[in-house]
Amino acid sequence: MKKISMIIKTRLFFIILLFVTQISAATTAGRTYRIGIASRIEFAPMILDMIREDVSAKLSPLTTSLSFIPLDDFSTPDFKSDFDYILVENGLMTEIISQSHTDSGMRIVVAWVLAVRGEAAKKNGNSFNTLQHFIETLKELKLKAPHKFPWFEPLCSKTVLRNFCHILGEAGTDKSDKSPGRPIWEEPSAAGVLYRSIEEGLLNPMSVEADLTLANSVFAMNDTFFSSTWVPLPRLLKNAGKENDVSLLPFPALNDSGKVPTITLALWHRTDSIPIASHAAGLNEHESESLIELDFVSDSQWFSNKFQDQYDRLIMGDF
Amino acid sequence: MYISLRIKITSLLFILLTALALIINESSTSLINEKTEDIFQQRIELLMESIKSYWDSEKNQLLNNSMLYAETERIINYSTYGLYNLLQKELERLISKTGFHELEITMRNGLLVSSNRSGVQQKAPLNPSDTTQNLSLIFIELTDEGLFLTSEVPVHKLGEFIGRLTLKRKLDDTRLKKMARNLQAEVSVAVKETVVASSLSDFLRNELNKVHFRSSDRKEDIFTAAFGSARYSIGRINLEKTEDGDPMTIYLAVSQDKMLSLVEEARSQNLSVTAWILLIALFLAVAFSEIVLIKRIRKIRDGANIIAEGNLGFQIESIEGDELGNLGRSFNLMARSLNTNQEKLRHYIERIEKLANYIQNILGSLRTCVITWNLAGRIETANNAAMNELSELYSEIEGLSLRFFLKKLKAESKKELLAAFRQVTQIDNDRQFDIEFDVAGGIKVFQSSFSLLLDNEKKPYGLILTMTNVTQKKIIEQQLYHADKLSSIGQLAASVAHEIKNPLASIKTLGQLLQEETEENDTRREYIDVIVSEVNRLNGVVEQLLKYARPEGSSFREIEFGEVIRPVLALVNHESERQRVSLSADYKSDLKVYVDSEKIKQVFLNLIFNAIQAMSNGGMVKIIANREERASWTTFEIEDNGSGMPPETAAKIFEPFFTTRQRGTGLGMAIVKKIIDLHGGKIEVHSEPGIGTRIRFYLPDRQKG
Repeated sequence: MKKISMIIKTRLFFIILLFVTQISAATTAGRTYRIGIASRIEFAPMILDMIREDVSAKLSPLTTSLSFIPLDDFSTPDFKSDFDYILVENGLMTEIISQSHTDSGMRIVVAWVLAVRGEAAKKNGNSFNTLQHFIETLKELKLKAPHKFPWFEPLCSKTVLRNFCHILGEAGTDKSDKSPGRPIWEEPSAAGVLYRSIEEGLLNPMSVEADLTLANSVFAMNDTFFSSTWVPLPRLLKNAGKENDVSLLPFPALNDSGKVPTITLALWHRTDSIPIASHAAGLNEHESESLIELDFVSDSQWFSNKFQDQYDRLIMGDF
Repeated sequence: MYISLRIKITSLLFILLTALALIINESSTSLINEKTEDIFQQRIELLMESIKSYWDSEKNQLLNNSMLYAETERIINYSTYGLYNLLQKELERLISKTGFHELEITMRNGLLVSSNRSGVQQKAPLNPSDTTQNLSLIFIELTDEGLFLTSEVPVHKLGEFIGRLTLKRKLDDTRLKKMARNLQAEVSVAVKETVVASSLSDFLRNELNKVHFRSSDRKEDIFTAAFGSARYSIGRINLEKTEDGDPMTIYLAVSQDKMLSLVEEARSQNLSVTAWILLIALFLAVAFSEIVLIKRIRKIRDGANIIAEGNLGFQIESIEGDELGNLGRSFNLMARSLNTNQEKLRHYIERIEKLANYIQNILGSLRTCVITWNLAGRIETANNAAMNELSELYSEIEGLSLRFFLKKLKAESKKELLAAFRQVTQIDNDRQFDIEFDVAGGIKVFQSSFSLLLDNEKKPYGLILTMTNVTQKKIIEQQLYHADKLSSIGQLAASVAHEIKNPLASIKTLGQLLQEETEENDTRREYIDVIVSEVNRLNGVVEQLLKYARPEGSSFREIEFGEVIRPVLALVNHESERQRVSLSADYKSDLKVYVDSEKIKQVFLNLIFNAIQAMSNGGMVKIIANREERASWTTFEIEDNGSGMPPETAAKIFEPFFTTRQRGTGLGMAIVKKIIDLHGGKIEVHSEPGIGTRIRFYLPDRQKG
């Protein structure tokens, strides 16, 4: 009887030990962390994958699974955040979030760049000196493949159109500026450049109704050579614009090689014991003269007041 | 061969039920076969309708899907805006998991984007002014890649024709196998004379090719074909022609094997059920025969046994109204009739028995022997007299053959009997004859006659031999004859003796005178003594002769035997001692005899002297007297163990003057015989040379009245 009781006790001990180890493992390694994104950008899945990789590298090594969820309304008192982390774009109101989360100090900078197919990039030495250079390249490509539009943009995206305005300007509200026969690159506004590009078969007309996801798909499917996109800044710097036979270049401006609009995202974590391995301080230190830090507040006002007008111009060509 | 009724009835019922069960089994099996074929026919017809509907549905689905795809915004936009890679992916996505083989779009400029191929192919540009470009088409095409059901629809963007979308469904083995799974029947498609796709195996497909070739002229659309060892019901559906104008046919094949195995299973189940029915039928047949027939027949049989045991009053009860009931009633009627007839029969038997006893008594009471013979010469019956008379000759009379019967007869008698036997059987003429049997101590003589034994129709069926014992009569006749002869001799001797006696008396007187006158020492005296002595002897002989011949009076009286024998024994005592012969007498002291005692003493005296004289070297003489109880005579015996006599001597010892001794007169035994005869008795002699002699004589009791 003693023997049997000993055996039972020993087995019970091992079962309890196994149970405890399983529970602890489940609470750490096996868990998926939910990360809310509070930003103006509608990140395409490809971009989110890039951000996921970068964030994962900076979080606890046990954190193996991250789930990104865009937050539509994060500034109202109704926001009930049960996210493990929240990436918050600089400039956003954080009073509500700070009630449940704490700024970890980690920053992720995403940049808006022109993705170029390797074939087209090579041809131009991985850069465009000017907008003219870019437009002429488009024309060459169009001639070679008339059935194909060499450029595609997600012009439905307010942010993208705003970025084009930042780079190419938004002048031209005065109809007197309109000069027939003027080269595209000399168009004084982004809407003019884009409209003319569509009209001349360089920019896919579908761009006006395409979002970021479609644009990424078109580019990924090699149905176009050029398309703008958001990428984490380190990738742009690290590979000097080359990623999988794709070059990431600043969008060229009228008289220079262009600027790179950026947005900084701060990582907030939940106040109750969410592990952070190390602070990624310095991520936002890769600043250069070509970078333009977008301002959330002013851009939000532009979205509200001017986007519609710019988009209408894009559709109607009424400059 | 005996076969019991139970077995016959059971067998008959069993055979009937077996035949019935087998007929039902065969009928049901035939019905199952017919129904199975009908079901096959109906199933094939149904399947043919289904395949037609399926085919129409297939075409409609293809066309509808084509239209649906042609109206898809992405398709239109991607086509319009040259996003051909994206379009290709979209086309690929659209038909993935749908079962369609290929989705392609041909642009107005002739560029072709296909779901199955990456990149763009340049074809001839489409002519928008060609009105047929706006038509929706569906057709069958046979290419190197296989057989396709293809639909083509125009693609428009905002009403403007931008190209044609083509959707293809490949009719390959996989597709037909899926179709076969849905229809539960094998499906094959043939174009012209070749099966181009089939859900069948390669072997069966080749077989179907042959069938297809052979059946090109068939009129019926449903037929049965054998593929190897398997049988299939085939249904043929002629569809529209291919784009090249070749006829296309769909063959539906339903394996009959499963159904046939089901039929076989049903048949075996039928057989199993039939076997059970037969078993139950056998049981019911046994029960039926037991309850309905055998039990009731047994009741009649038991009744018959009861009647056979003599209970004629028995009647079977609870008779039903069927045939066995009729049998029972007839049985009861028979029993009553038997009962009545038995009384009559008993009466007749009693009368016959009485008559038989009467006849038997007659025959038994007869002193005459009556023996019946059959015509074959064998004794059938013998009455008591015959049994008694012949018992010492034959151990068994009845059944005795004539040949064996004759053995005991004397030679002359055999001839007589045979002659009489022949005579009566041949000419029906009976005659009397005497037959003699040799028996111990003598013979038996029967006066006999044969007569025919006739039946009611006066036809002979046997013989009757009647025999009357006449032995005593014959003996008396012989004795009388002998006595006559002796009497004559005696009278002669007596007359001679009378004439001799007187001279002898004179001689004796003169001799005696001479004796007296002669001196004793005179030498003549001896001669004179001899004369006197011889004269005395002669005188004695004459006296005896006269005693034998002279009639004498008798003085019979009842006297104790001892008074007779004792003086005799005293008288012979001296002589016996002299001859060294011992005497013994054995008799009951109260034995009385009715005799002339003096004469009987003479008898014993003569016999004992003879016995003593027969034993020159001594011996023994036994005298025995005895009377059996209820016998009417007394037996006497004088037995010696002397020299005995040969038979020829013994036969003559009672004759006068017969003697074996030199100085005997030969009259002693003759006188003994005469005295015994005088007493009405009988004397016998048994002698064997060297052993001895026994004389036995019988003296009757006093006659009453």
